[in-house]
Amino acid sequence: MKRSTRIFVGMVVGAQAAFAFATAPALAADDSIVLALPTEPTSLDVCDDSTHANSRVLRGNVVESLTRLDPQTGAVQPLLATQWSQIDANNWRFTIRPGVKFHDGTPLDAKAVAFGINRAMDPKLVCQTYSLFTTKTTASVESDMVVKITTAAPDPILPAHIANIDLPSPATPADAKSAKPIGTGPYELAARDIGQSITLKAFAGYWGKTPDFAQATYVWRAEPTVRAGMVKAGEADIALDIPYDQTKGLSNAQQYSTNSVFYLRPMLQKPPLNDLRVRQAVAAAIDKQTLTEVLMDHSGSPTDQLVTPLINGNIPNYAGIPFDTDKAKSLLAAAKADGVPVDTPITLVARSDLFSGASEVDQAIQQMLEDAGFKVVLKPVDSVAWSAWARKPDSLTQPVNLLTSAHANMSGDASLSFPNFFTSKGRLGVANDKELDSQLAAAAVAGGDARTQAYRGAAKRAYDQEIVIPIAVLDSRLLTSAKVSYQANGFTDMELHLADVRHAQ
Amino acid sequence: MIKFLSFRLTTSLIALVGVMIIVFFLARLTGSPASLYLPVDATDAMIRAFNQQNGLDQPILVQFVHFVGNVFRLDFGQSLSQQRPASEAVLSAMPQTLLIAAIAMGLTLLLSIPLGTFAALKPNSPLDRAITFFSLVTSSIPEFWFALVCVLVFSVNLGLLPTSGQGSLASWVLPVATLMLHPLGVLTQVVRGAMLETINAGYVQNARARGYSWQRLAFRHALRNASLPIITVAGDRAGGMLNGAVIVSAVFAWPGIGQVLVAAVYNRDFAVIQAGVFVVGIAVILLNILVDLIYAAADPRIRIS
Amino acid sequence: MTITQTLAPARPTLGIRLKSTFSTGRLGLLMHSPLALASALTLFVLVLVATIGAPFAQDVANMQNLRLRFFPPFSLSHGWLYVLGADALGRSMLAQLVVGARTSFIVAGAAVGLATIVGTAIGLVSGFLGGWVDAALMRISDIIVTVPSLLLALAVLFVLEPSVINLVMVLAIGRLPIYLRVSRAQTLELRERVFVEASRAIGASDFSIIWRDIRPLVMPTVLTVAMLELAMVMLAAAGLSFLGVGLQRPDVDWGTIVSEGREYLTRAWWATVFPGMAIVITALAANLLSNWLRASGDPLQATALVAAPSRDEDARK
Repeated sequence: MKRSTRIFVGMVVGAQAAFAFATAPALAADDSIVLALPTEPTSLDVCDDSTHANSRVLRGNVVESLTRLDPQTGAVQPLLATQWSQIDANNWRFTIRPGVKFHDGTPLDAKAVAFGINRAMDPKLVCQTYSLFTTKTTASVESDMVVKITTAAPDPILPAHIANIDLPSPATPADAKSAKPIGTGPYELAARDIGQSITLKAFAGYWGKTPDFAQATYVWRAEPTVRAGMVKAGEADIALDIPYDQTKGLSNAQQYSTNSVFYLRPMLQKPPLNDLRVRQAVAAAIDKQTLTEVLMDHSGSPTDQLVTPLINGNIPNYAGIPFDTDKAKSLLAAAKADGVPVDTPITLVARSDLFSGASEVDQAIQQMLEDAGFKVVLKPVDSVAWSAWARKPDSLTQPVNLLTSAHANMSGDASLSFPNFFTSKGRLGVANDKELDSQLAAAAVAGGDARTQAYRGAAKRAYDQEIVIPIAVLDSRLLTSAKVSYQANGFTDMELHLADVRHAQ
Repeated sequence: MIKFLSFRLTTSLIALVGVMIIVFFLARLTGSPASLYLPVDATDAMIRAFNQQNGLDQPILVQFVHFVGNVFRLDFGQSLSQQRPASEAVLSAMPQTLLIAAIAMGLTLLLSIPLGTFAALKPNSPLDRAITFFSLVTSSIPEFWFALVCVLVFSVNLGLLPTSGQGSLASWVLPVATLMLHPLGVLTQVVRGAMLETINAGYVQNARARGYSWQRLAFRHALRNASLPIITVAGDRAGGMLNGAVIVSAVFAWPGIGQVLVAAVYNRDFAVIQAGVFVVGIAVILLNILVDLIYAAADPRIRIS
Repeated sequence: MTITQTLAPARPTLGIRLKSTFSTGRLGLLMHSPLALASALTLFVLVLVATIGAPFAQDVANMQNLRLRFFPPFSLSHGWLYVLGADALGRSMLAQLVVGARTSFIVAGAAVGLATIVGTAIGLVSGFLGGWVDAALMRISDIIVTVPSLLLALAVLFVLEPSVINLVMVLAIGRLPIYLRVSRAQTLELRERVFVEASRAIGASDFSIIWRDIRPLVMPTVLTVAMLELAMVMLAAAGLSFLGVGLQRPDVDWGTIVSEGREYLTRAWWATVFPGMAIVITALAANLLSNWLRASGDPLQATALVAAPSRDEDARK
């Protein structure tokens, strides 16, 4: 017995020593906040900050761009550029805000801006933001504080597009990704414990208003119950992506639109989905109202369009095929009478990580389709497996399927939405419609009202052919602690500006 | 002894090579990282550039040869998701894992041996029934469910313990408890079973007939002879703790190799998967050698050769 | 467990003496042990439900009724199907549990069975032969322990289809080492015993010594472990579901139901508690029965079965 006692004592002492080492900053001080997010950024490089996980931390906090979009109206506003003008169809001139410094002390000038833009546009660097630009975009120094941006093909909405490129310090390596983002934002990167947390601290030399909180720590918690629990237990001040039932009855919960549209994409190159009536039957079979109101607990609203009213391609008052199981049945019967093999099993490619509760929604859709007479096989996939069904060229060789997907566009412009899904070259589309191709090609170079009308026309044609079957605009929820006051907006899902987080009154 | 150790080490290293080969190909069966690290609408050129930069464009056998060559220099390559060497990502997580595994295993043994022994001393008594019931219930509750309920009860409702993360001493309670949940139940049962067996063996019965007290017999003699299955199961569970604590890291965001490996698998971070499995492999090999040494110490009839 | 196992070579006389008692008295003993009897009955009913009930419940279990989303349990206002409430899609919990029972039993039974047979066979050979064979086989076990089951599951899920068979394979491979170790450890000890020497002296082959002398003595421990593992495997399957790589709908086992319901812990406790309880009850029953079987299979432990000391003495005579 003696021996085991000694071992025990030794162990306890060892454990205590270990605890002492492991002790981290316990309770957050008054001027610092903790944010509980579901996923850690996959890259901290400025040019990768167009994915949710990356942009939530970096955009508007650590790094900034020449322009920004208004979360309410989608209008382009000045940020690091004070003004801009179009020289000709392919050239733009941006005047840079004076007195702005990067976190490393370098002043922001035309050279730094040109460096940042050209770096992100370097195909060899393989940046996330690169694919947001359909035409080659380059920047050059015109004078000390004026930069010229040139596009290979006309880009009438370049000032909106350029909001996607955040500007890093010229000290950032040009030919390699960097894990140390140095920007001009109100916060600078203070510490990173990979897998655990990222800490930002307020940047003393910020050109704008000093934010309320001197420090912000992001922690990653995959389980929504734990994220919500952190706010409820006073460990975190903001928790994102909280399911409805964990926010029910809480006054500190907010619901906000993610501007992300959940939709089905029929594989329209293979029977039976190559028949328009069958696709219309799919649309008629799905009860979007019940899905959003009951199953998604109002965390979504039914939609018939791929883009939200924030985007110019949104058609006001457009209505698609209404829910009507009988109509779906008769459409199917008509197709069957013409020899369309409507009994072919259709694979419903269900990606469960699209939004919280997605797998239940997928199962409900399966049942709705089967009620209308379809044969549907559910195939759950993760994002990597999903990609083989979604992306060309693999997507073209897959068996007939309905692909679940979500699309978010916050740029205000449909050019980041429609070409990809509707044209024959679109990476995520399976359509092959010459008329639609030329409509969208014309829209891309049009400006102003003509652009809006052109995109709406193309959208109408695509929806009439059921190239995509939109289901719901997704909402999300966040919880805030009593310490902070934060008003969620349409951009919260992508950009959570810490400067907007204020002391609670 | 030295012969035994060198024999074990060489055969174990051969096994490790086997593991690395399996893991190398297994990881690549889970799909291409390009579809994860690039935008969904990435162009072919982007995918090509990405694959080229990360050495994924070469035939898989060429990649393998390259990988083997680097492993001999203990170079596991760069992590895709962490922008640092994979070996660094893994090694920085290992101390946490070793520590929590040691604590959880130590506490498990401390609790399960007395519990199992007392249960075995009086089979079918109320005490035995209670211990058996307790151990069976703990070993059959889903870990993630237990962990989440604990968070709701102890952190959210009672406010006693932190929900997650690693900070104060209190933050260790729930992860350690979750990690102990199944091993505790299983080991208590194993101790009880093994003790019953030895207690009923002829020589213990004889000793009892000669008037030795039960307690003395149980802890002095029977336990030693019952130790083989106990060591075996404890060793197995300890190996599981080294490798996993996956649920603990998923729920509590507990830092450690479990979290690193899970993230690496989901992120298709091949370099980290390989480095992680390599390091865990070495830890498991050492643990197994330790278990064999304990076998020999516990039972003189087992020769180390 | 068979009668031959009671003929433990270490104590042959006793075994023979008890043989007659056992062939007639096993059921009788069960009748006298209320706990074991209850366990046996519980398992029997569960298996019955799984085999007979599941085919009938299959269609009902998949029938969604969104108006009954999270319908609370213990109310008959929508018929007895909803007596245990409804899940997120308004499916009957009861029907889900019945269908889940079948899958859970198939998965756990097959995985444990496979792992037991393969693991024990390797362990016996490994422990008995020793040397290079032992070293090689044990290192295979090390390999299995080291490869993360999550990686294995993900690879299998990705390359093959997520299905019951593949899940069984993943779980069986992952649990193989424990049987291997347990049987090897016992064999290591047993091969040094006198009766093995005796068998060898009369010219018995290695195989026959392993099969006739050692296996019967190793089996009780292995079976105890296997019974414990039954629940473990159900839980491992649940863990994989939690990590998103377990069974996928329409296939459903108890673990999947617990995992799906975890998001609604605060709102609909029944979505996780009932399937969780099903696992716990199965585990309890299986374990209590295994304890009893082992005790009754082991002539020396048989004494411990009957509560009254006086009858205890009788049984020994």
